[in-house]
Amino acid sequence: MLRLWAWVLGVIFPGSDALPGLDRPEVTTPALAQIRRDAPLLFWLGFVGSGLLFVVSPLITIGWPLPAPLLPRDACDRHAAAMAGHALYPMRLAMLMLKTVGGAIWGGDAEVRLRLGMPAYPADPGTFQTGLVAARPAPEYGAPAFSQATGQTTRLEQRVAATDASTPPEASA
Amino acid sequence: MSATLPPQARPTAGTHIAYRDAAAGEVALTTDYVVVGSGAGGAIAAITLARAGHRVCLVEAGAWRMPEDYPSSALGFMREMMVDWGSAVAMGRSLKPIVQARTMGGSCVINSAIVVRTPGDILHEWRDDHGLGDVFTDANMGAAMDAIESELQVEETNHARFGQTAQKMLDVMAGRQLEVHRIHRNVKGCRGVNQCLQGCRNGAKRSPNLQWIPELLERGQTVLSCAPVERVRIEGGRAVGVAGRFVHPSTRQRGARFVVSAARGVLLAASATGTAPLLQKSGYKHRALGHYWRGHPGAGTMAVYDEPMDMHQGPSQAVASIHHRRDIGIKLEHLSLPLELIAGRVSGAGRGLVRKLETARHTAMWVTAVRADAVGRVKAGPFGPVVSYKMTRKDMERLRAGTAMLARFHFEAGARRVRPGVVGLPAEIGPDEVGLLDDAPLDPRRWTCVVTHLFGGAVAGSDAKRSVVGADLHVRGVRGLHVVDAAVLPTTLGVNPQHTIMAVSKITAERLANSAA
Repeated sequence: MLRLWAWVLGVIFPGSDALPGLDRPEVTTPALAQIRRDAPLLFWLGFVGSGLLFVVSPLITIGWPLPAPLLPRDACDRHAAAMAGHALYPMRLAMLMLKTVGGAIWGGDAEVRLRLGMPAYPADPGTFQTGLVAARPAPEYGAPAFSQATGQTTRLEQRVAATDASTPPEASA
Repeated sequence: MSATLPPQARPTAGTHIAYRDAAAGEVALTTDYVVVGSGAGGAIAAITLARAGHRVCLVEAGAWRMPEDYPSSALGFMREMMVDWGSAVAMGRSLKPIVQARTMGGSCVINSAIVVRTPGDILHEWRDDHGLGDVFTDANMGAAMDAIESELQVEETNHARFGQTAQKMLDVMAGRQLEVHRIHRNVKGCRGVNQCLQGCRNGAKRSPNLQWIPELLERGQTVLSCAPVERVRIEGGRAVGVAGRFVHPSTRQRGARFVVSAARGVLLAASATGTAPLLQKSGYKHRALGHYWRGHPGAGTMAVYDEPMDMHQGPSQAVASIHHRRDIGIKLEHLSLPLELIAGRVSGAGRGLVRKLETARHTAMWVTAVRADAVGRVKAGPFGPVVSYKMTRKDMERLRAGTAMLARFHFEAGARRVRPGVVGLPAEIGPDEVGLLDDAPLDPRRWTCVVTHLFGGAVAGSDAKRSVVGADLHVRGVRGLHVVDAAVLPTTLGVNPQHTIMAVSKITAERLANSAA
């Protein structure tokens, strides 16, 4: 079934000439496998339910009485777009769930980031502290341009008072 | 009271107990005060009591992560930092995600570290409408905030690390002579890598897990992590401790039981979605428990520029405006999200979506946060807290007004197209179509809203029927039990609440420490 959900995400985030998409099973399927393993059951069920709705709903999005995997490519793309803007709120919610998961995979993909000129992420450590932990001093670099200690910055409450005094209640941009 | 101990005065190291397997047997501890939750309220309460010489046990549901443990990816952030992978929602006519962390340091680890002093009109409202004037006075809150700002090295966001998205907002609003400012943050040494949501692997964000909670250990106190509290133990009308079971942060396997007995008292700081349900599960009853739950719902307005905006550079938030905090009831903020989260929020699906994402580096986002009138409710459910929250028509009008305002600002700043993000409007509009936003539908189901800044559920006040805690934040009817988190705040603030929560908690903990002495 993972391959089916990977296919769904590949339709929602297809590759283009400019950017790779999630229509690369070698990327999407392992990512979904990890999500299935790590995510709470309700989260995974929400994702699967949303995927199922995507599969069975072309009749109410584009009027085609076929499950989505059997649609021609262009029709499938129109089905995805229609679901994203559908009049029925549960349809839009389901698409939001699919895009949340798909976006997390897509936006973190090294090849996507490379093509966009963004740095790739290092691997998530997946670690946590189990023993005594020492305090960490702040980094030394990046000295601030202003400091409250020097009094060069107007305190917020002064800004609020100034704003209240100068802005009539009916003012708008 | 000094922030750190001189080396020669350091006592024996404290105890940190992370996940314990069930086979290890029950963990039983005794202390003076047990503090539940390590976020803004819990951390400062714990360290305040410890500095006063009391024995403290801090119990946190999440794992303890330090910068070297922080994830870089959004998936990692969802998996390791968020409650239930970020799937918590407030339910009304629409489902609105609630942004809340489960990790040592609480939401202070994943937020933008914004430090805003409690507005004077809020304190006056607390005094006049809720009977809190004797304790949370301008002077008391001011002194507490001064101390916190000094300890957390609060500074104005470094102009050199701003990022294009923030600079544009600053320029256009300043040009209109509207109030706009560089955000004060408890951040030192920001490198502008836009990893604030993931915790800041550079250690620049001075969240409680980096200094206050390690200081607890330096002072010989006890910290439990991966330890969600299941109930407050109340015996004979007195809070005598807490009990729960360790849960592995990765596998969610339930481990050993823990029981912490508190000789002097229990302080709850499990958040506005956690504290009231915990009290409910502990058998505490009060007509106001879970009620008066509030938040700052918000929505983003994206725009596409000809020049790169590069949201992946700069802090997540650097600029904000409170110009319309009182007349309209909104705060306008810059927000730079990681690519993964942008991808999920851009409208559409399929080829149309990807065409938009090809301009990701040219996209900027500013957000409207509403000081909402809506009042909801939180209660314990079988799978976790259940939040019901329905935005009012007035709240939606505020949201719409802010969104239209930001759209106009975007075009004034040079944007080519604006993406309103409202179902029923075109996916992208040009400068001559901004009027569509003025008449945008007010149905919350047509908007993509997120609720941040959560308040209430165990509100403070002088009216015993309408408030769970009094001005001293003591839970009515249970000796030795206090709430020291956002659950006690009886109103929204219209500004970011971390600083207010810390100040309220600090004042309360100092009163407790002095009374015990």
